[in-house]
Amino acid sequence: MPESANDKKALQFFNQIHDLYRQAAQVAGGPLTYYYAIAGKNVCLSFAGPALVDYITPALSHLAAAPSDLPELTIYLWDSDSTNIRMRPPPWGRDAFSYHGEISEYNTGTIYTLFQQGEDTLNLLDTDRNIGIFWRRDAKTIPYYTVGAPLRSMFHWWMNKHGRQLLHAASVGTAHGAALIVGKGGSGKSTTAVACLDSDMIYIGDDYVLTAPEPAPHVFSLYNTAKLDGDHARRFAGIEPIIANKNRLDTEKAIAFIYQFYPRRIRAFLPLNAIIVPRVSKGKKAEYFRISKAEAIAALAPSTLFQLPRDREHSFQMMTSLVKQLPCYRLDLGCDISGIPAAVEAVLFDAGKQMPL
Amino acid sequence: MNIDTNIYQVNSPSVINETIEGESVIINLELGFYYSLEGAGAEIWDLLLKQIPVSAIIDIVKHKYNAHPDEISTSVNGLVNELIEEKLIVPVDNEAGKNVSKIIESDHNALKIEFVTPKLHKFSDMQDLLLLDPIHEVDEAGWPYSKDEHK
Repeated sequence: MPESANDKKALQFFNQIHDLYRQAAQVAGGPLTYYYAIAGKNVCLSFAGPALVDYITPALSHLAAAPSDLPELTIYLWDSDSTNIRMRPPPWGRDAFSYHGEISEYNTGTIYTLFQQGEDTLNLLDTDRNIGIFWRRDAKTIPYYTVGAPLRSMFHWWMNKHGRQLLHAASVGTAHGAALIVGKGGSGKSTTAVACLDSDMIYIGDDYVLTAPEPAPHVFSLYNTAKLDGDHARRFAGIEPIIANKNRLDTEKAIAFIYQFYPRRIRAFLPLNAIIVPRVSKGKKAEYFRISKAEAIAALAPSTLFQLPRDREHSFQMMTSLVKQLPCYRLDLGCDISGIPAAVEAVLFDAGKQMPL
Repeated sequence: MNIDTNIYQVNSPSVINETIEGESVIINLELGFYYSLEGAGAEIWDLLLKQIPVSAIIDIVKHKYNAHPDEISTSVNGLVNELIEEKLIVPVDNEAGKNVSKIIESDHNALKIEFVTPKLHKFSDMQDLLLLDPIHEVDEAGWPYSKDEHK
């Protein structure tokens, strides 16, 4: 198909920013490269200098991999403050910013352009060349939620093209398989996942994970972060000592990097055996109930889709394909969080009986 | 009551939906609302997606469900109006309606199901995820920045 005017200008802008990254890397004395195995894909992060490294890499540290000559995705990261390379002015007006920060005329079939408001980052992806660019004015004021879940849009876009779906979900499991824990913020996803650290269960993720419905449902770890309200985090004996932002809990949620302190509890992926919709409840103990798949989709899809820029219809199809294959449960958490791991294991045991042989 | 012979379709790409095991989940990606329908409501929704005229949908529901015909007509029309008000469906400019006679014949001998007035359940608890503050500040180069540097 002939290139449209939007195709040309989106690609031109991408290449201009790529050039600025190269200049920034040169000023910094060469790029710093880090490699990761994420959902079975080899990903390279190439930093123009060290400023952004300590803000971006901790959440991904559990997926560190050996250097590769042919990474499947390379993301270039730079900031203007430490490299003195200024970002060029945006070639669009203020009106061009749509909700989620997508720049409509600079989004084509293969070029993704997003300015993430609040986080104040420019995110670009070229799915033809499998390269992305991340820019921020400075590294020092990156919000805590970006440190906990970096490059989220980039991973959503690229992984979606490669059969993996980013979900606003937690996941824990056993060696036989995992449960996907879904629901809006405050529903108890993090409570459920973090409570399971106080057991032998495997931790996959707390706030965002990747999934694949084919050839069989699987969940992949993306971030090793746990994120909880400060007061709530103090209820978990294993988390309270390892909170990374203890001195800022008046304005931030508590962030802890699980891999740093519990490296053996994290797995890169597991088969998925069940979907759990947690619910905060006042009962004495945790209890589970079967629910309909439609109820599970209603808990999973809106909270994920409303956060994701672009490709939402395809994302929804991947979510429904996943849910259709799995038994679904509601888990009333009860007041005693120490009972949550056993309840999750009971769900997985029951799910095992539901799955076709 | 006017007979609605209109045909409708999902208001895509703003609206996406899935029906599983007789329950429909409908999401309005632009406005941040999501909905559920079950029973007769999910069935009416599926028939609308098949671009069957509303008048024919009423006939199908009357044939399948046990209730006074006026109750069924009122309920179906009420649901359709609600779906239009919520911007979940839009009219299709297509005069060719689907042939529904086969749908009715296939259920000819089936026992009628008890009719429960369809209810469109609407959820707005995640709308805040879509409500971005408008851009207030931009730097000298024209890039937005958040005033609250300590986040």
